[in-house]
Amino acid sequence: MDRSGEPDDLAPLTSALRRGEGRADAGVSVAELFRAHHLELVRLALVMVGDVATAEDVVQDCFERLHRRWNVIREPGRALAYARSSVLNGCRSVHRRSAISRRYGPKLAQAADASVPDAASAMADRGQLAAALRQLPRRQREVLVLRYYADLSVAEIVETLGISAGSVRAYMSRGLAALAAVIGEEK
Amino acid sequence: MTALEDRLRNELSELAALAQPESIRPLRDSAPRRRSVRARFLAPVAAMAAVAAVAIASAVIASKLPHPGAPVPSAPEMVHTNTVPRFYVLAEQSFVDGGRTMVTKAAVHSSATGDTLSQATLPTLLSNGGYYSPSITAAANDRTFVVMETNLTSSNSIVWLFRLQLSASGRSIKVTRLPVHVPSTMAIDNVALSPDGSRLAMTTQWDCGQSRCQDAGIRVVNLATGAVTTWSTHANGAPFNGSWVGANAVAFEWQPNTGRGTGYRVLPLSKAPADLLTASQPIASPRAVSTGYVPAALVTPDGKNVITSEVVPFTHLFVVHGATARIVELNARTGRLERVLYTASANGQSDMLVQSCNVLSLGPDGQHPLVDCFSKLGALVNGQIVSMPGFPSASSSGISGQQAIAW
Repeated sequence: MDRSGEPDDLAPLTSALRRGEGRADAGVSVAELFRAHHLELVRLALVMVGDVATAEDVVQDCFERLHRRWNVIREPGRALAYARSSVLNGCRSVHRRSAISRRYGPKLAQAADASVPDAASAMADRGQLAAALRQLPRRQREVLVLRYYADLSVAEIVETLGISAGSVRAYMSRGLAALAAVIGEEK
Repeated sequence: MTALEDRLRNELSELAALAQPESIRPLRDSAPRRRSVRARFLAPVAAMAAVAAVAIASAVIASKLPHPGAPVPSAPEMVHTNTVPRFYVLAEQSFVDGGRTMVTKAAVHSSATGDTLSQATLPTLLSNGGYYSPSITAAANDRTFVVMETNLTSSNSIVWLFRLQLSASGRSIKVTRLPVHVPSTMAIDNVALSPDGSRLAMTTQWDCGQSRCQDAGIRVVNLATGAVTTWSTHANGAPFNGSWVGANAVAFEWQPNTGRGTGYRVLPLSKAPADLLTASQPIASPRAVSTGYVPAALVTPDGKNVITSEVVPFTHLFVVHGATARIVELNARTGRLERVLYTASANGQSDMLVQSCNVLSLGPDGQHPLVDCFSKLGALVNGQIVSMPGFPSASSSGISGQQAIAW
C-alpha cells in the first residue's frame, strides 16, 4: 500500500489521475471500478483475444479511456457496462493493431520473453470451441462471450452492446449454429 | 442448456481462469499515453513512416514503410497520378480539451503528396457509453465522400450521415448532413455511395416487432428526394459489405445464420423491391477462411471481376501459427482466378490473423485497391502496397477503430 492507502497496483493510475486538475471524482470512481472489476475485465478480454498480454493491454487502454471520458459519461452508474463495451471495442482494435505487430514478430518475440509459451495458447490446444469462437464474426463472438462467459442476461447484453434484444438472440443463435458446425466438421 | 452450451461455458471459464489476480499485470502509468506493448514498439516506426512516407514528385505516387533493420523493399514502379484517385479522405475520432470533448475530423489528403488539402470538423454524437466509430465510403467521381457516424446506446442506435463535397482542387470542402432517416431499431453494417453520388446503399438489420424476429435487407436512399427503396428478407441471415456494381446494382455478402453458404450476391436495382434473396443472384465468392468468416470483396464497376483476399492459415491443433494471403481478382461469373495482385505472409499465434487482409476501397475506376493486409495499409500498385502519403498519422500506428479511410 502506498501512503494514500491505495493498493500498490493502483498507484500509477491514481498518480496520473491526480495530475489531472479537477478530476478527483473521475479518479475515485475509476479506482473503485478498478478494484471491483479489473480481473473480470481482463478475463473478458482474454476470452475475446486469446492471450493474456493482449488482454491486459486492452484493459489498460479501457481504464485510460474511462478516466479521460468520465466527464462525458452521462450515467456513471452504468460504468461497468461502459467498461465492458470499451473492452470489447478494444478487442476489435486489437484485430488491426495486431496485424502490425506481427510484421515485426521476431524482434518482438525476443523482447517479450517469447521462450515461455503463452498459457492461453496452450489452453487453446484443448479448447477447440473457444478457439473456434474467436473466428466467428465479431458480433456473434461478443454476444456468445457475454452470454456464456460473463453470464449476462439478454437485457444486460442489450445494455452492453447497444443492440436490440432481437439482434442479441439472432447473433446468439447464429453463433451457436456456427460452433455446432465446427463440432460437426471435426467429428 | 444444450451440451454445446455447457461445453462452451466450460471452455471459456477454463480459458479465463488463466488470468489470476497474482499473475496479471497491474495498471501502468497512463501518462504519456500508452499503447499495447507491440504498438508501443511500433510507435517510432509509425512516426518515421509518417515523416518519411515518400511523397513523390508531382507525377508519381510511391512510398515505403521504413523500419529500422528491416530490408527495404524495392520501390514499386512509378504510377502517374492521373491514374489513381487524386484525393483520399481520412475520418478520425479524437479527444480535445483535455479529453473532455470528442470530435470527428475529416481531412482531405493529396494522394500524391499526402498534404492535407482541407479538413472539416463534423458534428459529433456524444458517446454516452456506447460504441462510437466513424465509417466512411467514397463516391466514384473522386469528389464526393460520405462519412457515417454511429452511436449505439442501451436502447437504440443513432446514425448521422454527412456528405463531403470537394472542390476540383480539393482545397475546399462542403459538409452537408444528409436528411436520411434511420430508424433507431435498425443497425447499419455499412453504407456505399453510388458512382454518381446520388444514392446511398445500406446493408441493414432491424427488429420486425416480434419476439425472436429479425429482418435484414438492402436499403437504397435517393439523396435528392429522400425516397427509400428496400429489398428485405425474413430468411435467417443478413447482408454485409455492400458495394456498387456500376450504377444499377449492389453487391453484398450474404451471411446465413448457420455460417454455411456464406457468399457474395448482386442485386439489380432495376427490379421492383422483392425478397432480397429472390431478387439477387450469387456471384463468385472468396473462400471462407474460418467458420462464418469470408474476406471482404469488392466488385469492379463493370461487374466483371471480384477483388478480394484469400488467406490460408497454418494451424496446429486448432491454433493458428501463421498465414499466407493473396489479393486476387476473380471472374465474377465463373469464379476463375484472373490475376494475383499481391502476396504476403505473416507469422503469429492469433486467430485474428485470418481476418487481417482486406480490400477497403477500389477507387473510382476500380483499378486501384486500397488494402489493409498484414500490417500494411496502402494502395496496391504493381504487386506492392504503397503507403498512403500522410498516413499513418503521427498519432497512430495503423488504421484503428476510430479511423476510416477511403478514396
